[in-house]
Amino acid sequence: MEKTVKSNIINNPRLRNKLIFYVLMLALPFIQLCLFYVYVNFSTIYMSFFKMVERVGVLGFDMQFAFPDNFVHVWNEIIVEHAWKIGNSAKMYAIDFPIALTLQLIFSYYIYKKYPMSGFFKVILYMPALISSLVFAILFNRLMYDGYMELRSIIDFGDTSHAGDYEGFLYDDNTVFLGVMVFNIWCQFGVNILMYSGAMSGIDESIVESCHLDGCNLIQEFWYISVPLIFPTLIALTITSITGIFNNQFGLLSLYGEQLSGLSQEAVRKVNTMGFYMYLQTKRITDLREQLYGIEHTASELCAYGLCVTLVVIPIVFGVRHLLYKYGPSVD
Amino acid sequence: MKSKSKIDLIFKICVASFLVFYALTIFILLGWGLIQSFRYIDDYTYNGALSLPTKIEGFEAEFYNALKFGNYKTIMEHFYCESKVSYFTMFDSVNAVSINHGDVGVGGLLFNTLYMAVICSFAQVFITYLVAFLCAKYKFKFSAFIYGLVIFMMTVPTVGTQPATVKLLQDLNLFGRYGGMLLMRCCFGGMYFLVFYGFFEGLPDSYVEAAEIDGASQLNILLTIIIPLGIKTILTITLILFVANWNDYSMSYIYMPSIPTLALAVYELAHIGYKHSSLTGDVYKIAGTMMLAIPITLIFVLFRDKIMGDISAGGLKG
Repeated sequence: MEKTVKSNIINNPRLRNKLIFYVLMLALPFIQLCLFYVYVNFSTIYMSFFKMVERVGVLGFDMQFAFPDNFVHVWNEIIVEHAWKIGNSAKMYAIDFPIALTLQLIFSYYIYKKYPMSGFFKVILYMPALISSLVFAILFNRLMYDGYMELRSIIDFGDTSHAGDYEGFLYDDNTVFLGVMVFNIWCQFGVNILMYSGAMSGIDESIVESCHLDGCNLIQEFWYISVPLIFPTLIALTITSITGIFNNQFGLLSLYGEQLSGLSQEAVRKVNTMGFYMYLQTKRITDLREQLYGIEHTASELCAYGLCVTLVVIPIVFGVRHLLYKYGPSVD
Repeated sequence: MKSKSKIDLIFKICVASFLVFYALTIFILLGWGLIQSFRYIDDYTYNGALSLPTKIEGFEAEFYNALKFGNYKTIMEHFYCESKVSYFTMFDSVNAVSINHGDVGVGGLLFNTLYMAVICSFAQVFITYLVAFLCAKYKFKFSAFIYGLVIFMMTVPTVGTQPATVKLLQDLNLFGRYGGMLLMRCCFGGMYFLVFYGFFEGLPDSYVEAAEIDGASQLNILLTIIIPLGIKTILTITLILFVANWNDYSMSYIYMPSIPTLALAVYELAHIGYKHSSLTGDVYKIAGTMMLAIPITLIFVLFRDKIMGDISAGGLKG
């Protein structure tokens, strides 16, 4: 059979041309894929097991097998040392995800049902995806800093002269966590709303009509018809979101910059996440000037960390997917 | 029946109220930003952030009017971002270099941003379209392999590959170069690959077969039939990626520090104040921010239906 195909390709000029065209057109994308997905992933694994050792007498470094040094470093210097950042990431995700998801589904349902001003709300909810999160973060930061201080001062004292007594919603130790969470939830409707409302618009009208004939109200229709029927979309977006638990910076870079400027030690302990920390570490290994001041982790150690997180996240992703399919809502 | 319609009404009112509140927060924030961007620094400092533009006696504003349109002009004149390449020593100190290409002004920042937003976006969409076409219409085993790989990439997450990506770019001598940025963006996969793949799966083979019978070459078929068929979708998705890339500052921040974009410059203006000694003051930070937001808002106003319609259509239907 294989022989026939081969002889066909050789003897049939049309098939041969087709194959040549196929190979030529696919060459660049395939090379790109090999480099930036296959090679990069293998390189990450390779670097996890090796460390760079300075050559004696000449400039340069050699790669030396160093298992389990990098992983020991990851455990002691990253996971144990920064366990509170991992805790913050998990805590923020546990609060952020259910609230955002619930609001996204309810708003999408409102838009799908084409209730008053749904077109206008659709545009408004898309704004955070359209305009850079950096723009919203900077404006939110300034308004919550300067504006909040003035507002609190007016409420408490009746004039703005006491404004300096307050630190601002995003900087006060007591409100910083709330401020970051509000910003994150507020900013993440955009594309997901369009996805969910798009999926809901594919629901068969006859199902919805029969639901109403059975006496269902809107909340029952939402819960027993709309959510189960868009469940595959919900699972896909949930999985994407879980993948980013330990990568998610929760907007800290946009809100405060890399130094988390203006935050007290206590405030930093409340909001700093693992995603933010590792993002900055990666940035630092690309900057020679940063290295002059010394870096906390080498590239190999960061790769080892990435490998560890991947090995943790993969079972979580598949486990959650399995549970959602098994115990998730059913249309029946 | 009566209680049912009562519940429905309460539900609608609650959700609508919440949405109105949300819309107000968006309008207040953007409106506040726009107004503040026209204020004098003295006015902002003296009258506070919640005040409207006001003339102040004895200050610069008194001589003109309450609004200072020159904030944007000042930013255009003094806005810049440092262009630098710092190869990391840890991989190979023989090649350790730190090159400062100097400061990139507004013109250069705009060029870099447009390069990323237009050329890189178009390349990414075109490559995705092409690979989806090849996988769907050329029934070779390799096509099935590529399709499987795309699904695998979407399903199995990988974390922490940035250091290896930076090392690869450095090894290829593409770190901090336009070619490197383009190559990184010439990728396929993800949601748009599936959208295009679905489109080609539903496209009858007779289109291509008829052209082949007429003696058209494969390249001709691609250029005269396949691309025109999907040109609207290609342009629409390019537009969506244009928005995403216009706003993106992490690409320049991590991978291409020598190709700074407007978004990166705005980030530095807002958070690394010492780099912009001539643009100190919240008014300039806010005006710089608005400079990033205004063009994209205008594009959205012009192409609203295209941008939003396509994403909805491309949603993973349940």
